Amino acid sequence: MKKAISLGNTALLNTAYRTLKDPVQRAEYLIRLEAGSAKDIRTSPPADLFDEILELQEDLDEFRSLSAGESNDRRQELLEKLQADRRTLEARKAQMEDRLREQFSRWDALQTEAEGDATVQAHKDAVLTGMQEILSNRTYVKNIVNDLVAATSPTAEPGRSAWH
Amino acid sequence: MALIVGIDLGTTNSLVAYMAGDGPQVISGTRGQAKVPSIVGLTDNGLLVGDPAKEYLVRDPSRTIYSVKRFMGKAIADVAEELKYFPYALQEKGGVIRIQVGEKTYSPPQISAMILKELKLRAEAHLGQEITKAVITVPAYFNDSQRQATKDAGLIAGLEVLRIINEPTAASLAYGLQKNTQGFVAVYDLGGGTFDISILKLKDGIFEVLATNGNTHLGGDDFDRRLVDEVIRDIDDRHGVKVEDSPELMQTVRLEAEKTKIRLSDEQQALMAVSLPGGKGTYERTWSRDEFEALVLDLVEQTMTPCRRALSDAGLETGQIDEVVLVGGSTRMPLIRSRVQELFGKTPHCDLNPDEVVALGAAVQAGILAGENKDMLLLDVTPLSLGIETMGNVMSILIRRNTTIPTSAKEMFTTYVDGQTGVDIHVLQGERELVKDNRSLARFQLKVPPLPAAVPRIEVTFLIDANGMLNVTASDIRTGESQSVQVKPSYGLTDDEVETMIRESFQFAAEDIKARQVIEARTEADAIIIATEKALKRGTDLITVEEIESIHHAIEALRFAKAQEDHRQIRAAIADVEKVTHHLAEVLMDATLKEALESKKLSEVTD
Repeated sequence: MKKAISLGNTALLNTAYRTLKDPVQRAEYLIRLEAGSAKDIRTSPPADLFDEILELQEDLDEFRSLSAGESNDRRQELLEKLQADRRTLEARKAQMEDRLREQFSRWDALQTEAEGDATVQAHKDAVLTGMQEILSNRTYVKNIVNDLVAATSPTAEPGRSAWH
Repeated sequence: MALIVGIDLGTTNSLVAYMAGDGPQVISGTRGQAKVPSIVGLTDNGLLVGDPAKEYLVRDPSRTIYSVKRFMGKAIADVAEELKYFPYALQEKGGVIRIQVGEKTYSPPQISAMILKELKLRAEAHLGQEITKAVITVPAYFNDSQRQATKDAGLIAGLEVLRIINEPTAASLAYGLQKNTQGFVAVYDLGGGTFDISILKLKDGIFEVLATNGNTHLGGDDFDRRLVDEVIRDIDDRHGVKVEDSPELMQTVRLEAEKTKIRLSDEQQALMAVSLPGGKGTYERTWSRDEFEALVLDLVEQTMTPCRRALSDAGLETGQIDEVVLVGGSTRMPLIRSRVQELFGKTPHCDLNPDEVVALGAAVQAGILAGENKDMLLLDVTPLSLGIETMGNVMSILIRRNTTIPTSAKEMFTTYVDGQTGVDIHVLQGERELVKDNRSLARFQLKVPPLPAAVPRIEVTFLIDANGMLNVTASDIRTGESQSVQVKPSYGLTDDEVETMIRESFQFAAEDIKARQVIEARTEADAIIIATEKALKRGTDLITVEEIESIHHAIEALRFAKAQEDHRQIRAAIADVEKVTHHLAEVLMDATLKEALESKKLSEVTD
């Protein structure tokens, strides 16, 4: 929702600051502004992580099916593996946020170019598409991290995940 | 057949839904929001309901009423505990609470009716037809007087309340659980300010409430408050600013805290930013989900004890629950989902929007009543036992709690004293032995001819209709003399009062809609004038003399328009003020941002 600047609106100021500072919120805002809704962005797995994610899902299913009560070597092994996976994915997520920031630099540079120029517009569209792709990959990775956190946190019990 | 709507009349928010061709659907307002805050502002300009009233609450709390549901069907003595949470001045008239606002007083059903009317108008605008019938939900623990008060509210709003149903039953209906043949359902409902856990038994499509428990003062607002307290401390530590000293800053912090909480339900980290007044910069902090969960863990645990109690009251083990349903916006928090799942050992239902699920279920019930769904039979149960006072100040139960309604019960009584000429029938509700521990619903006298003790035979009949309304009849078998009362609990409005209110509400219905738009516009105009004058003071040096001049003109024009009766004229004047102040707003925003960023470049902030 694009909100006009109006007097006495400190909440808007905070939102503005936060949106500029957080790359994900900034990208979501920009896409909403330029291309309609950010909600329509599908979540898609990063192509290069496809095999790893498949394997991870299998591990996660197996881990959930093992009971927490018994001391189980396999369970412990899986737990460590999943925790390592989580760290990898979180690093990956941070990388994507860095890549979003790179896109913003390109976007900012394009702002000084002439408006209405077809090549400039094509560049802008390319940047937006790039952001959308990063966002959709990031959402996918984020959902998996959330699943991992839920399954491997000390309070979680085995059972199907509630987050689907 | 006329459409019947389903209404969730909540403590914090209310919603209206209807049965569309492809399933229940909530109705959104013009701002796209389905939730109507259950807040009523009785301003000098007139009545505000919902979001406009919520905004007004910050400006004039003494004329804004929220959480009125907590007062429904109660007397002052019942709400002594509640009063410390509310700034209202209360009076009592005929056993009914009246809330004083300015010169006038209002009963809780009257205030609720204003909210219901807003929902009715919204539904009528969306559906393009007049809406006169509704199903309204209430908490499972509501007693007869609270249910009656809710029905009264519907009547005052011009709605025939076809059925009052329990909120947990509605939530289960929304998920279609009645299609299962049998089982036990746990409904975990954590709203803005209240927590309820209900254990239902489902058999042949009929829901019975086995047990309820909860905490009437625990909800999402408490989670926000935990974060707010932490932020207040942190801002003081880092910037030496006392947030509590400025109501405006306090409100900003509260809003940011709520946004951070919501974001942390989806993300592992969330950034919070609060610009501080007086050139003190910007408070900024990234919160992790773990940090937030550590702050609120004990609040989540506080909901677990009532869950275990409800289970034990229902005589069940955790493993016996077949379905778990989550209700209320706060159940989006992953920590709550995992704790609930852990406790009941079942994956909870959470596919539907937890804010909307009760209203959706009410619409399903409305659809059943409208005959769209003939294959479904739906019954409710009486939440508390009903009986009469007998010798020795004890309560003698006629209808046990959790009896499926409609139902009736009959019992014989007699006199205790020789030559007694009247029998007092004192109708009671509750689970306790002694009369004084139970709730008195009604009292009447049946005349009997003077006879020796234990000779007269008096038959007392209790009848509960499908809406949970109780009818009590006492008759002297010997003389055929009989007396009856519809319970019309001692804490309720009299029929006359309700009728007067209904008549008034019809009389003013047409004017109301027009008046409402004028009122909203005037209130907004007031806010704009105040903000503009404040901004002018701050920004005198930042804009030209001509600009200041034109802003003054626009304000004068708005003041004039405000005195007229045309909301379009007021809106237009507001738009003019906004247009001429746009540049001022921009330069002020820039100045504040500059202050906040302490002369950093944008690229430095975003790096």
